[in-house]
Amino acid sequence: MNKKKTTTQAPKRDIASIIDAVKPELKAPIKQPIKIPEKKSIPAKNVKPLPMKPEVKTLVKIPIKPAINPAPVKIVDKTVAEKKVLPVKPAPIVRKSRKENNTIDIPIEHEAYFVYLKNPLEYRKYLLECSKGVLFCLRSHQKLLLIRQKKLEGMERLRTCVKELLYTNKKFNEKLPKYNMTFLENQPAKIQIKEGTTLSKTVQKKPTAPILKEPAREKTELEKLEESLANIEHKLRNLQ
Amino acid sequence: MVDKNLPVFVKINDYKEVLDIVDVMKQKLKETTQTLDKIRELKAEEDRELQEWEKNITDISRRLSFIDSAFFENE
Repeated sequence: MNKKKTTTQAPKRDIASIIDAVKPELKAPIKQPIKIPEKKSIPAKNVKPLPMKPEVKTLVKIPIKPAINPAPVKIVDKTVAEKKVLPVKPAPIVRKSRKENNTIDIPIEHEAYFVYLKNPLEYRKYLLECSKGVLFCLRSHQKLLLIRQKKLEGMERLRTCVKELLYTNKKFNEKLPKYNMTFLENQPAKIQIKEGTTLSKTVQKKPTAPILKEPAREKTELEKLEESLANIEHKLRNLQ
Repeated sequence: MVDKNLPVFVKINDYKEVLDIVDVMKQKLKETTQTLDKIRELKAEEDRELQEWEKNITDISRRLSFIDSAFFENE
């Protein structure tokens, strides 16, 4: 499985992770403690500068564990650049080859735990694809917002159309001849009274408490529409 | 009883107006139908986008769970 990993201390690092952690100036393949010479300043006449003791950085030597698929490490030889800047040639440093020594120097401040990932490229690829997916989602969200805005505009247009249709329908009805619905409704129903039966006595109504009328509130659009719908249904029922 | 199937007579002056109104109504109905079709298309597009969104989210979740299991399996 690719998930295999090892949690080790610094001695079991691979080259790429260590070199990433190390400062850029320490990326050069230095095998011995670096002696950083003091910058040479131009001495005043007849004054001999005191010999300064150069600072020596404490470094830890860590054996290199060769990775299975080690990434190609590009090590820039900075000595060439230094030569251009500094007129004085630095003392030649005797270096052993990496294979011979099999160690790399890293400063103490970079002492930390690292996790070895077997296939870093794969994880990077996965993470990039995740980011891509998130961006796709954001794009979809923007598209959805646009679509909804268009839909709302369409619905508003539809509402206007329906209102205009209602208005024209009303006008149309006005032009048609009127018929008296109340006349149709108030047709006397034929009451058949069986022989031998008498009309029931009129029931005396009990006095009831006066009903307090609620203050009239404005009808909502929905109530108005429902009312007109009920009215039309009533008319239809009468026509049948 | 009143016969409900009585013939209807419309004044000649109003008749032309009625025809115009019917024309306007036809036009409005056509416009309404077109708007409805457009809204239906937009709804379908919205559904497609939502499906794509869901698919992306599922994909991201799958990848993240893999990375999570690879990074923190020893915890």
